[in-house]
Amino acid sequence: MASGLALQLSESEKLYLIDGCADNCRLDGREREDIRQYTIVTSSETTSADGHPPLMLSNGSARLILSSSGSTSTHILCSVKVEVMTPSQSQPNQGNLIVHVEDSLAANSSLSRKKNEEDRNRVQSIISELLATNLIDLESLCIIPYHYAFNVSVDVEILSGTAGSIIDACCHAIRAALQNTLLPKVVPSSIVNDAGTSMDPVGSSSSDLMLESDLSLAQTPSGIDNAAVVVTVTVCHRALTNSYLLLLDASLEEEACCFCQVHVAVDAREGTEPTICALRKTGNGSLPWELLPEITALAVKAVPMTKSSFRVAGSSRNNASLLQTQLDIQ
Amino acid sequence: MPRNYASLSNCYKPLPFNLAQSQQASTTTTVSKKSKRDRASHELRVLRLELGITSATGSALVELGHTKVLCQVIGPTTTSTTTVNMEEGTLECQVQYVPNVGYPITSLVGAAASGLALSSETQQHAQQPTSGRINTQIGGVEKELANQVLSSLAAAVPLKAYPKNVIQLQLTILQDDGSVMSACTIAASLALVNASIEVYDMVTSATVAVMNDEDTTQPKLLADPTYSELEQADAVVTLSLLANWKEVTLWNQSGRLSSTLANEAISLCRDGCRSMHKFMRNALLDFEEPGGQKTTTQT
Repeated sequence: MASGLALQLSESEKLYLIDGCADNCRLDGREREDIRQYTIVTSSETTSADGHPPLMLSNGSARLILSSSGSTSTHILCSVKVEVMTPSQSQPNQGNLIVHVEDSLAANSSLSRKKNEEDRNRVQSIISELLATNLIDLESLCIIPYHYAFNVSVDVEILSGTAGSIIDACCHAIRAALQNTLLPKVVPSSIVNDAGTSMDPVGSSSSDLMLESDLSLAQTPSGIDNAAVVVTVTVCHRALTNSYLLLLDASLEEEACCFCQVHVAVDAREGTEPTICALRKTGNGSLPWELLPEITALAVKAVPMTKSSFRVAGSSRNNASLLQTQLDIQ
Repeated sequence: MPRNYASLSNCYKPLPFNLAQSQQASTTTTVSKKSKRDRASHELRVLRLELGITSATGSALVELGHTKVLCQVIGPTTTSTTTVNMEEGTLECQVQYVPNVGYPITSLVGAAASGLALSSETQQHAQQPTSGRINTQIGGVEKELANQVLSSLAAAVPLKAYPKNVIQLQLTILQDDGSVMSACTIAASLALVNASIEVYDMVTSATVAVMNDEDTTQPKLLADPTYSELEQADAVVTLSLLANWKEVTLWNQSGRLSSTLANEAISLCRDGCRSMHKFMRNALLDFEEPGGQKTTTQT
């Protein structure tokens, strides 16, 4: 439902799948609340000492690989690019974060183009609504209020989505990429100038800012450690007993026969009660009233499981020397 | 088809664009959160529901205070595309803001952050988003609304009763003053019934805004918020219900809420939906086709 690779299942296949879920044994043997293990690659270990992040010219990047049994895999690539811009008048103390999702492989498939475009936009709008304000502290992106602020542009490329659970995977990849992003340290030159030498008001020339080319002074965006985690709860309806089954981390087959899905962005920092930052229901099924608190409880319960099911390949702070040379040139 | 000449209420004066307030907001770092609300926090705005006003198969006009939405239903008709669904019908939805008037432009002007200008002269111009940019933004919002209205109504229509047919919903938003998603859903449900399309139940919808009040420690829950209340709110919850079946077809929350507060907001939405359902039902029963036939409903 969320990607252009919608599977068509026959009625008996759907019945088989849902009966399996009711018996707590899904197609790949998992229980209803089991999550598959993800692999996040933030730098690849090569034979030489320094590892390189997946995309060396971006400020931050991450690759997420989720492979399921039967050679299906969900492969997401996320890139974060930072540039300096003028903040908007209504929020002069804040930077900006834009999330853009591309699904290029589905565009080349034989499905009709219009439907693909709609599905792609759907994934993008769901993810940006859930995450845009819940990832980092936007006020920390401000350099000089009213004049300069950072614009963080997150681009997600869905390389393959056959293992399902695309929205969750994209959100994890975004989180990992932002955790490995380095914002260059930018100092307003009016502070650096000696008193009396420069009387230009800020904004009149383009050399108001000085970029520190020392890589060790670059910082990660603040607030990323407390960023929201997105959990998708898939609801399946069993007609025989008129019962509703809640699944976590659905595969593509399960998404094809699900009743509806609820995407929940949960902020679960240490020491405080987990709060729900955003919630979206997608799908054409209607949920009975009693199920709503069960769904939110399951989503909140899943957050520590999701956080511990990552396997991070490569160390995160070994940055390519290419980024250093890029800062030197500027 | 029936020709009730409906008149729009409250449409002689446009919604005030408070220039002084927005300029003041840009010079101070905190915007004052106190807003005068002239109704109780759980009270809905002045409601007007009208049916059968255009010559489409079914139509409805909904006014929630200053938010005005018109919905027309075309169908069930056949479709000429090759991807016709043999098993069940298809529901399509299209949302359009009336150009230049419908969308609250104050949320876009000056809201778009722009890239650095090369010279200082163009920096002033860089603040104003171009009309092309505004149009793409509005287009994105329209698409999103259409998807959500579609998913909230799809559960109510027994599509298996209309195989190979297409039912098209065309929503036109005449003015957006908050709770536009709810207004669209209500208009679409009424229009579907007006078009004599079989539905399991009417879908009602309500929006609740949660605001943290500085005076008291108790956060305020405001039902049916206006646009300015939505901008100042800390969290917004939208719910669409099939009232008789007690099933939820759309559930959206943006903004942080603790679980107790979220439950309170959802309960307030549910109460709003129930009262809205009564109003919708009364509007249907009062609607008379020319020829004196009244709509019959089966509960």
